[in-house]
Amino acid sequence: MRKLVFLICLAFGVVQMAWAAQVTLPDTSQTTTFTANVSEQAVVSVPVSITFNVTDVASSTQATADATVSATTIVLSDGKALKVEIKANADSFTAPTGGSVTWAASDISWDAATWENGTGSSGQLSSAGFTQVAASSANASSLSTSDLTFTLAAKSSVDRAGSHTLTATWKFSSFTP
Amino acid sequence: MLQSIPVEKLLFVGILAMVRTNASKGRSNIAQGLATSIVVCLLALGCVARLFAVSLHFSPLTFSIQARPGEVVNKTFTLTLPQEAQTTQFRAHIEDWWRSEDNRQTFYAPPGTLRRSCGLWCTINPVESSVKPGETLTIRLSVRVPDNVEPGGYWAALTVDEVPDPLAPKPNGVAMVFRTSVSVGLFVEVSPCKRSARLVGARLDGDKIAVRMCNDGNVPLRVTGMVEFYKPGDDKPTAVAKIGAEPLLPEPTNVCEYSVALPAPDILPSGKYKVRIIIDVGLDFLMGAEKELDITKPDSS
Repeated sequence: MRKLVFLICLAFGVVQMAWAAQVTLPDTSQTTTFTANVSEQAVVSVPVSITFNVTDVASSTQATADATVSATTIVLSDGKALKVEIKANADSFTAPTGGSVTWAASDISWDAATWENGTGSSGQLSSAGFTQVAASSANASSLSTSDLTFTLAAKSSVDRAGSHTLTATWKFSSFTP
Repeated sequence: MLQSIPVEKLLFVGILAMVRTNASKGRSNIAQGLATSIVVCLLALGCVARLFAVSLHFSPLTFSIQARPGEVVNKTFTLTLPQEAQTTQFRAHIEDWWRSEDNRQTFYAPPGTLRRSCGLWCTINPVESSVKPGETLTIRLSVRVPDNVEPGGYWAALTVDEVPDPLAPKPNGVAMVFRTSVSVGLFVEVSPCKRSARLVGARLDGDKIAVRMCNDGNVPLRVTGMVEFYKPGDDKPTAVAKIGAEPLLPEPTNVCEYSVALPAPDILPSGKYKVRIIIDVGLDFLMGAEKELDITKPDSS
């Protein structure tokens, strides 16, 4: 019982010390610590669409404009990097009315491009998984490119003009425990 | 509709509307013509924003949780659209994920696919929501660790996808339409965890050096490291390449190869090098390996 009373008194004393102290004036010995808890975060930006002006189905066609992809205000734990990946939402493009042949998702490829604060990887679009397009350097606060070139492979069996469309998803992640 | 009309045409129509109104209806209608042209130009600008970028801010990118069996842990995820964005629908769901052995692809599957998935422990709310420009979507995540769970590491991902607008115009011609998706890694550790890994190989892979690691434990590990290149007889490295923080999972494959670009030819010219690899997976010690490699690269000129 005495031990219990002693421990309670001790704990009470510690609490008192944490909240107040008697000092001799003038005094500058008292401090308060301010803590800002910063969450991991990023702002990401991708194009809505890109177009291929296919004038010769027997030759490969580059997109009409290079894609601009960026991530800014990247705040991550020490040493981590932001990954940019892409995946096709379907195995192939949707052909226009009357068309029986169109391009497969894997007919789309991209170059490594020049990335600021990161490394790009050339690749081929897949509907099975997200393929890496770029990764930021460790601790980079931004990652961007404006010269990511997508190329559509030749397919001479395409038999209808019109809208051939494929939806793809950009993924941003940083999976590190 | 707007998205399929070229921006230049809209701007032209806007200017034309102003000129024609001013000319034919006199000065009293200048204000009306100006208003028309402003509206058309604003629509055009909206179209530009929609054509060129979908932008969003999100936080956090990882949830790392230490939990006991039976414990409930609550977290929140936020996603904010900028003022200049369009109202967008988002759908959230929990998924299992893993990496390919070459670390170049990420695969996703329904929760519970992996043996060490914590996806089925999670509930999220809301699942689908419309976010207006400048608004913030807050998703509450609740992780209920089962009472009878075995110790070790478990993982999943909270994925938030942009939902396609069914009324959005379809682009003309041959085109790819893009959606945005963010995935937040969710790692739950139930003590005691077995942390164990091995460095099992290193090789040249084109203009990269690839380091192969194996996870022998039962918890995802964070791999960081560096590759040092020494000229024969030198004590100081000619060049150093860093391996950024990457996950090393214990399943479905416990092997992963991490590639890092070789330094530029002016820093690391072609030649024979002693390559020293140092890896940190958060254990009490670092792992290392040394290997002689003949690096042949095209001249920088």
